[in-house]
Amino acid sequence: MSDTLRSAERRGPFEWELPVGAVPGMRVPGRYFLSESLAATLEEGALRQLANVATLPGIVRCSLAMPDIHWGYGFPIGGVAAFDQDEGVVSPGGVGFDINCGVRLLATPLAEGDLGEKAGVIEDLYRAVPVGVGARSPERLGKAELRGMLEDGAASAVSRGLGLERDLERCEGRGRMEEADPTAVSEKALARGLPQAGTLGAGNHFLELQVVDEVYDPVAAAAFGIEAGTVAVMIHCGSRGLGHQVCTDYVRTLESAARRYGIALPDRQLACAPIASPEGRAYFGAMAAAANYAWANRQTITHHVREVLGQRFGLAPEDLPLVYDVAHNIAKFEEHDVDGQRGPVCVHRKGATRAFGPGTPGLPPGLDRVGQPVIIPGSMGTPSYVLRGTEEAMRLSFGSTCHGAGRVLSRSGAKRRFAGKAVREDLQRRGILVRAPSDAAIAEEAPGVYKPSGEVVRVVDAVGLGRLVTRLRPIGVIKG
Amino acid sequence: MSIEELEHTADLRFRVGAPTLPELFAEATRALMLVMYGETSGPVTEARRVAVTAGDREALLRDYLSEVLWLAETGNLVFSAAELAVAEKPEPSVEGTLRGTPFDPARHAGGAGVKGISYCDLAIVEADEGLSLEVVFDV
Repeated sequence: MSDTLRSAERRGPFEWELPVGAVPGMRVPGRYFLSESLAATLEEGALRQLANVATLPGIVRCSLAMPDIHWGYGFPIGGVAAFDQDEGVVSPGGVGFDINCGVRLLATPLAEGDLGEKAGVIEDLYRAVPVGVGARSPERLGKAELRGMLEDGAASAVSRGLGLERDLERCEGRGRMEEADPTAVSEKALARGLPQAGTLGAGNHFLELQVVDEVYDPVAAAAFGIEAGTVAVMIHCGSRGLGHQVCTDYVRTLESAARRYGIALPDRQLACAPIASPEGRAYFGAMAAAANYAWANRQTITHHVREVLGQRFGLAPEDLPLVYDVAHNIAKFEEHDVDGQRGPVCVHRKGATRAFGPGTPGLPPGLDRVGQPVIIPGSMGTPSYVLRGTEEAMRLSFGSTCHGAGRVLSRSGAKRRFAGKAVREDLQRRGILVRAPSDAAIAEEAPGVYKPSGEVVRVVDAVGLGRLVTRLRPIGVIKG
Repeated sequence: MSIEELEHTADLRFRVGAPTLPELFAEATRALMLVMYGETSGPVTEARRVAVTAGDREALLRDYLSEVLWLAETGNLVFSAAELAVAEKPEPSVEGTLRGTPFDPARHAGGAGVKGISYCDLAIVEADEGLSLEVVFDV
């Protein structure tokens, strides 16, 4: 690690600060949250990316990284930064290719024993939800339906009979960004998005059956609608090729814009433009439209999951309520306190989850007393967690927390170390059935390639970036 | 010509080597297809024209591979060969033909699904075998 990046100072049991000057041009410090054991896995590339973000114009307070920080592109994964709406910039490098990649959790009234032949349930879900490379939507959507997804998000799916009105209450921002501008989305992006609506995708995306095996906060769990011992369904996916193409298009556009506006970029993937500029507004409108597509996508998959479980167990959609849906790759205008003044800032979360605390305006009735649910997926073999948002997160991290366990091993390293078949058989012995298009996909996502999810959320809970509510044990996994 | 996978925690990072710029771009195409589909075998029945210009060599590579990704994903195609001409003046440009086969789940489902081509660490440099590039695919 270079000397400048070694200059990070420990500011508390889990809080570290990278001072201005660690890389040239930093306007604010970098701040990140790690335990000793997590710090041992921190890559120089991730720290440099945290510092690079601190050089961007209009950044306020500090460049932040959550306890699942790791090396990405542009921002580090786990990166959070807020920008002044007049002086600041918006950057696709702070959102990522998979705009509104996110996760949602469905509750069920079923106990694990009620599932009967678990392999049959997994197989039915695998057939109902298109997964993997080359997956195509079984629906034949037209351009009007696609435009509806871009404009109205989750509500577009609900209006087509693919969900309940109550589902919208349980999505971050009701599953829609009103700033969406479908006219800012290119024809190329539309062409990628049209056949992929309602598909899970590949890579780290998954659909998982879990059991609520520990409740830490019964009051919050009751408010969220989570009951100990019941089965839950977690869905992790994003905006598919449409969002990927929006990012590709606007990195090119905003790189040129940055030159015109005299913005020096330490990394071309941090291409950006002033928020108020025509280029910045166009990206934000396209990004918001892609985010809406992702919410509609997760809503469509939810419908297919409800159909499968409904047919097998005689359940109505109302018996399978949505606990919550969170985005973890997004930029949003939110009200936060900066230098003693409250006002709107553009918060970028790249591999980070909104974690609004109790009393934050906009939370639906029932959740406003306890804070929003925060869903943190583990890996195929390690638990996932539900936390609640906190006042501390509002104060420390613009209402943000981690988004997952965070990788520690590259995909090539994973394939060298693990054989997919052996991973699958080992998990099966532990009661976790895995279904995937190929064993290679299983090896790349083996539990050993991630940080221990328990340690990540322990740090989150200790710092106060979220408070533990429940733990969920995986029992069946469909990998994309 | 060579394709070497390098360490990258979240995504896939490659070093690609070739004697000339057109061969370097063709080899990078092969790396992208191998990541997306695991293998590229199958009867070569499809062809697509590609033409891209950009401000510099690195931007050209990013934009070209993004175009290949778009053609493959929207056409449901697996490209096994790229016949390319690359010019550096008057502005960097690449044009040519991609040849391949329709996506077949039985053969091509072992890939990773590439989301985009990142500028992160993207570089084309002189090397012993001619030219070398490094590129990160977001997966």
